[in-house]
Parts: sequence; C-alpha cells; structure tokens
Amino acid sequence: MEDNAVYVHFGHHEYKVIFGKNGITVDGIPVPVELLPSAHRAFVKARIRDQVLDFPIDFTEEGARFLFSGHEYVVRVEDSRQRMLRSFAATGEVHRAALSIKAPMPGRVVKIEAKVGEQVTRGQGVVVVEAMKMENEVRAPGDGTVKDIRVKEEQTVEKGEVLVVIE
Amino acid sequence: MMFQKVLVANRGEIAIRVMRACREMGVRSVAVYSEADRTALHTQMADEAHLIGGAVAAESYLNFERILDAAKRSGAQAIHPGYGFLAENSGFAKAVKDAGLIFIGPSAEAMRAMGSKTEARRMMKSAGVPIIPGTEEAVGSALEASRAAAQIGYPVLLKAALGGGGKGMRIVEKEADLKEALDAATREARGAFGDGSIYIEKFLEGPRHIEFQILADEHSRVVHLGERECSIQRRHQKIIEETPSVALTPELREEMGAAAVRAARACGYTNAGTVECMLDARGRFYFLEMNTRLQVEHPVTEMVTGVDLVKWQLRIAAGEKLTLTQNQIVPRGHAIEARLYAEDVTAGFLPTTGTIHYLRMPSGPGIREDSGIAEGSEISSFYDPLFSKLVGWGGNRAEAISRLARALREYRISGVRTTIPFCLFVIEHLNFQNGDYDTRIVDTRLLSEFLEIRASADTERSVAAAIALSTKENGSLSPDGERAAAVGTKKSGWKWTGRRDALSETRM
Repeated sequence: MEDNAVYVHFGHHEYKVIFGKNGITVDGIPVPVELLPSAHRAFVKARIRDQVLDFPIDFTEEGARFLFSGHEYVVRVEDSRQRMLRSFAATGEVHRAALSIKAPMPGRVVKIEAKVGEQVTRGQGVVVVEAMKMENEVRAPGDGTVKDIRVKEEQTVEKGEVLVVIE
Repeated sequence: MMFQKVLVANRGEIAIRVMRACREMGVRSVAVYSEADRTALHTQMADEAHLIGGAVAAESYLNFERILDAAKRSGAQAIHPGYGFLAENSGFAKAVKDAGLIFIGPSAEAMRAMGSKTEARRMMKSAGVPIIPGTEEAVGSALEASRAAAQIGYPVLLKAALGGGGKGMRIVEKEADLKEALDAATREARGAFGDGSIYIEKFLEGPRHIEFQILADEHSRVVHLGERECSIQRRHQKIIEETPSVALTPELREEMGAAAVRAARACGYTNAGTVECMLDARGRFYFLEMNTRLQVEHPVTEMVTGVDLVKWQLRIAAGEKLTLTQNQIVPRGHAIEARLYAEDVTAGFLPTTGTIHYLRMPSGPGIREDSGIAEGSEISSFYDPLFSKLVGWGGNRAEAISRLARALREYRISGVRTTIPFCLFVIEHLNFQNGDYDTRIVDTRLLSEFLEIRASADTERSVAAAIALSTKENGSLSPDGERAAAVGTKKSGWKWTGRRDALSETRM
C-alpha cells in the first residue's frame, strides 16, 4: 500500500498517480502538474507544462464527471486505502452483484421489453418509459440475467426508482 | 403602428430571443412564468414578469385563460407564442384575436389548414407543390393501415395527423411490424396531442431534410430567405442545422424557393413560416409540412441573410408592409447551429435534470449563442431539455465548422449532462465535413462511433494528474455529495504542490 498514490479510474483504464519527492508521475511518466487558484466550487484548474486545464466537476454515483475541451469524462478517484477496501469487497459476490436499472427520470412505464430469466446484453432495451410525451428506451448498463422486474406497464415511476434488476 | 408592449407566451431561450428583439425595437416585453420558473432567466430579461400557474405546462404555458389574463393585466397589445407550447395552436390564435389582442403569427385559419397534415397535403397538391405518396386521410383501423401500406409499398412511415417534433412517428420496414408500431404511434400521439389519428406515407431512401424560411405580410407580399438543411437528426429531432445546404444546386434552390412561396400563398399565409421538404437521393423534393411559427433553427438564416426574423414578425403582425424584396435577400457565408440539450447521449439521449452550478459560454468571432440558462438555473423534467443553441458563422462552410467546433471546446458547464460532446463529434466527422449523410446517419453510424471514442492517453494522463492533485490537496477523495461540496471552498485547500517543478523547469 502506497500512501502517496492516488488511482484515477477511467473505465477502460486505471491510472496510478504517485506524488513522489521528485514530482508527480502518472503510470510512471512524469507529469509536472501545478494547481492554479480557482474561485469556484468543485472546479479543477491546473497547469501542466504549457497547457492549462480547467473544468468544473459534478460528483455522481459513478464518480467525478466533467466536460473538458468538448469531451465528457467520468472518473473514479481513490487513494490506496479506499482502493484496498474496495478490492476486498469486490472479491466474490460484489463484483457480480445485482445491477439495478433505475428510472432516469419521472415518467410512465409504457412497455416492458424483458422477461425474468432472460439474458440481456449491454445496451439492450429493457423498459420503455414515457416522459415529456416521448417514449424513451431504458437500456441495460451491462450484460446479465434479468432477476426481477419491479414495475408494471402503465405504472408511474419516480426518478431513481428501480425498474429491473439484472445479475 | 408598432406595439408598445408584447407578452411572450413561452420560456427558455426562445422567450429571451423574442424579448431581445422587443428591447431593440423599443417595445416593452412581458414574461409569463410557472411555479417552476420563478427564478428562470427569461423572467429577468423581460420588462415585467407575471406568474401564471403551476409547473405542469397545462396549468401555465398551455393555459389560454391564464395567459390572456396576464396580457390584460399587463396591458400588452400582442402575444408572441415562440415555438412549442401554443405556437401552433389555432384555437389559441383565435382566442387571442377574440380577446381583442394580436397574435404574432399567421391567422388561425392558415394554422388550422397547415396544422392538419392531411389538409395541408391536399392544399399543396392543388398548388403544384410535390408531395410524398401516402394516405390522404388518417387510417381508421389496423386493416386499413395494412392495405394502405401495401399499396404505398414498404418501408412506410406512420405519422400523427396533428404531430410534430418526432412524436407519434414510426418507421415500419415490413408488414409483420405494422400493428405494433401503429399501436405505439397512436398511443404517443394521443398522449401528446389528444388525438391519436395516424396517417401513412412512403418512407424515402437516402433522404435529406431541407426547409425554406418564408416571410409573408398582410399585403400579399411573400419572400423566401433560402434553405436550412436539418439532416442530422435523432428520431426526427434535429441536432445540427445549417445554411446553405451542400445538397442544393443554385437551380434547385430557386425551384424549391419558388415552390415554398407558392405553398405560402396557397394557404393565405402571413408572418414567418417554414416549408419543410424532403430531398431524395436523386434530387427530387417533396413537401413535408409547413411550420406555422418561428423555428428553433431560425438563427442560421439570420446569420447569413442579416435579416432579423423576429423583428419582421412583430412588424408584420402590426400590419406593416414587408419592404424586403427577394432581390435584397443575398446570403453571405455559411452558418451552422448545434442544439444543446440536457441529455445523456450514452443512455439513448435521455433527458437529464439538475442545477447548473458552473457555466462559461463561448464567444468570439462568428459565434452566436441563444441560451436560456445561467448559473443557478434549474433544468427540470417539466419542460423541453433544450437549454441553448450555439451557432457558428464563417465565410465558408469549413470556417463555420471550425468556429463552431472551437466554441464547443470552449464550453464549460456542470450540473447536467449535455449533447455538447456529441455535437462536436458530429461536426468533426468526415461524413459531415464532406456533406455525405442523410437523415438516418445518427442512428446508422454516428451514435455507435461516438460511444467508442476516447481521449488520447496523453490527455487522459494530464486529466488524471490534475484531478488527483486537486482532490488530494482538498483532503477529499470521496465523491460523495457532502464532501464534494468542500472542494474549492476549503480555505486551507489549494496548495501549490508542483510549483517547484514548474519553476525549476522555467529556470532551466
């Protein structure tokens, strides 16, 4: 366990940032980063060599989300201790834990497209929720088997309400 | 005589757009707002603002009585409906007139004729404007639908008779899918417009969406202001719009412009309107519908023609003559608009909600932004998720693209997910740059490619270092709400780690 390390997880890759005596390295590559003062809450402002990075951050369930230079990033930032705790928890069931598909907005369920026991793949439509007079397909965030369907057609749902559980 | 006071029966960016024209003309503007919009930007941009009811649109922005009451209270002489809400409701136009006020738009009769797609098609046919093969009447039953579809030939498109904006629309590839699609379209149309009538038409191959802006006064003068191409769409919702279109030759432009003017004359149209057409892969065009209002994408036309459409709407409604002649309308350069929605593209363009807690909008040469939000604005699920329109103008198409791309990169916003990254991806895509696309390219190509892109490893390392240092220096590594609020506010926070490195680099 390294006290001076921070892990920044980008989904497809985890970068290891080490705060060493001779400066900061990312995956072993020196990145001379300097923080600049910012008057705003939840805002990153830094200089790296001749480049200035500045972007506001949203903290969400999936991690820190931000838009920078026209690209959207969602990253999880952890120190060694947090990372270790998560890796303990992740051994076994948590990694294959049930995944709840939640209503992204308040609306009305117009159609349920999946059945309990059915195999679904990432991106597959599972429930159609009508909101603001448009039908929106709610998709599976990952591969899995449908364990439970918590809503019925024509039912009104709140934002964040669990629609379907897959495992 | 020009109005002294105009009520704007809308919210968001379009309300602000109209208020700006009013102020420039010395006309006082009146905002109306719902309970959910007490602090909305449009209430601050008007000379006065009146509360008209609950957050649900039916209790406020769609409520004739409340809006007319606010007009009486404020002493407004005319009502501008913007787009959406009551803009294409002929009943409202009539109610405004009956109340002794002026509706800034066409007559209720013209709106009624063009609002019903079946009636509009009949009218266009007799005016010699080409129409897409399809049913003249709404289909009464599944059996009737199946006969009509077989006669027209698959693929067919199901459309709500009173529809607009992609609601109640379905593409049907084969007979087997017809019934289910008809049910869904009817349900959606009934929910959105209170009328589930559906008609069927031929679904065109390789189509492009081309529309013509027209202006018509009450003295029989009609001009067109050229086309807009709106082929980058998602489920019939436009995303990117531009003028001129790369798909038109000067001859075709002239022919289509003349047809648009004929279409407007055929229904006795007055004020600003748009004649929407589909252009197929062989350069044949068909009348799609007439939008009897100011459109979302009107700024691109304003950028290249230099004509302020909203001001003309006011002047025409006040009975003034359209002094602008067809010869005076000479487009200059190229303009492209990106519609910025609070939507999660990765979840199939689902609307997202939240509070804008940071906002820095782009500006600079050739950039126009028509926005409806400010820092602190709430984006709720009550209304349309469009929060801004960003327009780039350039001497030619390449410059317009590079300016718009530059502006999208300058955008700094947090609080909601937006379509900014997707818009940037689209306008920098080779197919867009080469003008090689049709109205289906988002679904067939752009969206799937967009979901695969990621920044370079170099950029990611920089971002990782910056965010790691920021969170470390704030003593907050957990992205939970409470601690997150401490970022940047904690006095002892931002240390200057790394400065030594930077300084020593400078010295070397």
